[in-house]
Amino acid sequence: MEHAKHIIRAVLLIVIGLLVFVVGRHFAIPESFGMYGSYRFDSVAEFTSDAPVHGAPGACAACHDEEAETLSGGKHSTVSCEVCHGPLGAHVRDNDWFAEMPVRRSHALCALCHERLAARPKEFPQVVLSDHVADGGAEMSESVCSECHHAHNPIE
Amino acid sequence: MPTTPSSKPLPASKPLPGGDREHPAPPCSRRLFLKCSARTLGAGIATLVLGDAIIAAGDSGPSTQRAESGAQRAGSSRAGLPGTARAEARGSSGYDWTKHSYVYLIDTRKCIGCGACVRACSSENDVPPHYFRTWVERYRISRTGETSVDSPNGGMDGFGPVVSGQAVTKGFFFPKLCCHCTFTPCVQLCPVGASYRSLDGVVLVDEARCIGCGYCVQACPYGSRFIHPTKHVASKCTLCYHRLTRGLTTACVGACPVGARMLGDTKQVKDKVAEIIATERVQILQPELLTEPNCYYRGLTKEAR
Repeated sequence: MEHAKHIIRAVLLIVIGLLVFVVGRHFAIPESFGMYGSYRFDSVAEFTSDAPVHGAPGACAACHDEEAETLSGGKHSTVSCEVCHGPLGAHVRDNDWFAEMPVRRSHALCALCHERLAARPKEFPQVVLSDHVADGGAEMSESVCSECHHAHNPIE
Repeated sequence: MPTTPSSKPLPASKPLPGGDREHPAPPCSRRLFLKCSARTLGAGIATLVLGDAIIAAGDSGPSTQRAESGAQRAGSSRAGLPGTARAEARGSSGYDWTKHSYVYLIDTRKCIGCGACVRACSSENDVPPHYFRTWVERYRISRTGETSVDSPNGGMDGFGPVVSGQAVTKGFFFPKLCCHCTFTPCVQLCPVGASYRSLDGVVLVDEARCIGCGYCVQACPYGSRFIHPTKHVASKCTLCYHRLTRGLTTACVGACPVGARMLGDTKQVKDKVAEIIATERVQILQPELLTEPNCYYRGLTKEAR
């Protein structure tokens, strides 16, 4: 039995190693890791728990039905309210009024879509702003566009 | 195990500092050997533990026993999750990620370059300034094929007129985002299992697990990932996963005033976008890389890349 010492030591080392491995593995791997692949499934839940900032379609119409109706009857019917006004999350939170919604009347906002650019589709309505203002006989100002056009229904 | 060339084994407790004529010093003493082996074993275990943590159950699918037991393991603290098991638990109202497979379609013939999508994405996902999960490029091509591309602030503030000597004959806007590839170079090389592709086809990054090594940023052939400047983890388009799972469309698609961006679901019957992809001529970016993107384009030219 004296010679068995070597074996016993080696076996002991292996057993200790295995123990360290099993315990270490238990702590190193997050609970949901590997449920659906080599990733932490809880991460998917974390993504779903984020609250949307932009509203659902028609969310604005719940309170602003008049504006929504004007909008839907005009050329801007495909433009979401939030494109010009910003995300609904800045205005309404938990179904309650939170802060004033910004209303931008600058021609710079209109120019984002309607300034003439070579890369824009030809059929899309676009103008060279300075020429268009001169043609219309208006004075150039910050809110020059809204003098003739209603933002919710630009061509009445 | 190296021992002295002696007929009698030496007692383990007796060291062999120098040895003598009868018992010359071994190349490696027992103490040294044990020290070395302990060190090697430790390193081996560490590698195994870490390695196992990374590759654990890499191949296990949703149908395997492991996945099932794992799903059962999931406690109520994670209620409201997507997943088969959870959907069953929550009834039909729950989002079931096995019943969706998202595709994205961009019609570059319609895009007017207003940048509403970029602004919407930025505010929806709290994207840091001058970083983009989606962005819009402007291509201006002349008759000779001379191409100039610009994307000032990712197109977020729109595009202004360009004064240049170039005689532009062809111009278009080219919105870009993560292609949510079927075969993802970015997920394959993630060393810690932080990048993954969900069962409904969305490539996501687990921020809690990401170590910010940036390999995925380099691997993405479409440049759609970046290292978040304050969180120091990889960040990218999530296809507004928090919106999709609530039945909403993505912020960028919702913001597009001309319908140039469209989101579809190939697992839905009579899906408009899936129908277009199935019946019309659409393109993908860099098909030679075999990443099989799920973001399709209409109206691109050979200069677009």
